[in-house]
Amino acid sequence: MEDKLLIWKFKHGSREALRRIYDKYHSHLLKIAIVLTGNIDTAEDIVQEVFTNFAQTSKRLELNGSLKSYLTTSVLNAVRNLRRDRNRHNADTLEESEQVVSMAKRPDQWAILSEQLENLSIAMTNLPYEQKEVITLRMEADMPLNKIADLQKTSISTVNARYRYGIEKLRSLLNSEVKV
Amino acid sequence: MKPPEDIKKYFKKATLSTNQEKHEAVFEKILSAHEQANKQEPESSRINLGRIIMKSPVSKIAIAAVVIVACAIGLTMLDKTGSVALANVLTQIEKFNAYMYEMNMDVQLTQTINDRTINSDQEMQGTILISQEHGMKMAMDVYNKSNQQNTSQEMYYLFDEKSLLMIMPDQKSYTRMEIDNAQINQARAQNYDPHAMVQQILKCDYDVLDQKTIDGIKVQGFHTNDPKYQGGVLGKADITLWVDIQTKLPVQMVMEYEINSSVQKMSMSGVIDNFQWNVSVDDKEFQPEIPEDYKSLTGNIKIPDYNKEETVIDGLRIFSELTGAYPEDMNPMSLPAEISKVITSDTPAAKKFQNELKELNNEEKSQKLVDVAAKVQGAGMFYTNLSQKDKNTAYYGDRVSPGDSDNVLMRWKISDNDYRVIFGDLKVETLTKETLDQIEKSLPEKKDIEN
Repeated sequence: MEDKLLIWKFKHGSREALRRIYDKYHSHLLKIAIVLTGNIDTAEDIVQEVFTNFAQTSKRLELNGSLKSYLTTSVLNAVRNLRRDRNRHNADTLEESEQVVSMAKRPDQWAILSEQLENLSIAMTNLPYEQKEVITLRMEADMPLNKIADLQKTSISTVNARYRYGIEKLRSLLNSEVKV
Repeated sequence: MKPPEDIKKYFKKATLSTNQEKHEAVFEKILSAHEQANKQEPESSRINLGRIIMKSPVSKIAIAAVVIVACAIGLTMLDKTGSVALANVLTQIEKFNAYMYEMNMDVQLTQTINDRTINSDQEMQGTILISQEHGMKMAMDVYNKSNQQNTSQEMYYLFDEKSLLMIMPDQKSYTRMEIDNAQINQARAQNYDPHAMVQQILKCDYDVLDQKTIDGIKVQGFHTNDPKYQGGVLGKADITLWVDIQTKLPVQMVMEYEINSSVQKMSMSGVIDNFQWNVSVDDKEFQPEIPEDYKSLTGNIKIPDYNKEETVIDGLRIFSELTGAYPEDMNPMSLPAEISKVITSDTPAAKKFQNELKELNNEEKSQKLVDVAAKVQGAGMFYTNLSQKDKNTAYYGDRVSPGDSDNVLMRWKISDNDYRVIFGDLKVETLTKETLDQIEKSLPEKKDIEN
């Protein structure tokens, strides 16, 4: 109900509603972007871009599902676009991010990662991107597998397989840190 | 494979915090983009008040009804959901001679009349000023999503003039409804009388919600979806009121309604907030000036006294004469769609009426339609009034036909064991509960609805 109300007010130009949405979801979106990209700077840029685009479309905004799901999907699309651009320009891939995650923190850095998030982000860089997406959307966004299959334009069984392989790999990578 | 609870737990523990300074700086950029985009928004797509269906005076009354009811809902919520804390809220409000609030509403409407379906999807945004002394003033912007048009309206509920005035600047037109002392007093009682409010508390089941913070204010919530809300005339209602714990004044109200009948489906959802208490009111605020070049669309509309039995009989009679049936639903929100049947019905009386309309100019035509609409609405208000007073009302227009002297068309309780009953031939009798029960047992089945 709160999100519905926030969207309502936001569409009518409320700065307070925009602020509330920003405060409510920035951490969630940053975490998803960091885990998917393995790069704090990139993740911050993506989340800022997602919120900026969101802020600019207030009166045209038509939500079919939840606000959280809409913003999560926006981050996902932004990451995919970035990957596509980088692959097109043969630049560094997003997977080459381990050293970036572990680099010293900048004073003007927006996101301050817990040790677990840093380790998780590093571990995730070893997974194929599609597996990363499935695990992140399932674990962090609580997205059902059929919805993930829609987003990945593939079958649920493929998504299931990506999920299983990804979890096993992640468990082995995090090894001593996860309590089985 | 083991279930991934371990990984899930690890995800949960993998958290982040943010640098507050940077957090603010990022938001400034986002906000700047937001405001820039709003400035560049073309005038035509700016959300204003809406141009509504409003092609006929009947529709205008329908929209007015929506707005009036929405406002009444906002205020009467304070009547109906209560606790000791809410009793304090009423006392607090009473201390203020005038106050303002904002209202945002979405109204989605689908009407099916004969074979025609009309869809309307509107966003309304308005500011409401309540003065205990003068009345109510509402400035509304309406954006009609269906045709992407915007309109504005001003509506005044003027106690001194005993009238309800609606001004539509975009159309350079206005509509005035006369209201009498009884109607004013009733509105006042419903909206302001704390005794009436407290009396209503026990009529609704409500939940006290957990405290939370809205815009930095700690609030307590009260929620009801009791079908008895507003006597059930607003269909399915879901209302949440948030009250400032310190001041005991309302902070926000969230409302959702769904009204379904054979001729229309209406859903309304909205929020009332940004209350300003004890505002100073210039008398001129309640002396609206209508520019000389504005035309009255309908002449003065007189809503009959809905406390009188004759009003309901007259309304039902004129409707049945023109359409050959009774309204299927007496809900005041559904009645405008029912009234539209007068224009589309094929009965001899309706054809005669439609032919008479053709001979008239637009103003006369509007006046004639509004006369009929006002009478039928009067009947609806009579019924609504009793429903809100919890008089155990029932209406069977969906199965009882004109002239049916054996079946109950409408009834309401007048004492512990007695009911007033209007039969299908519009005769009225007082019956005991036992007799009424016997007669109602033989009511015909509902008519099949053709869409």
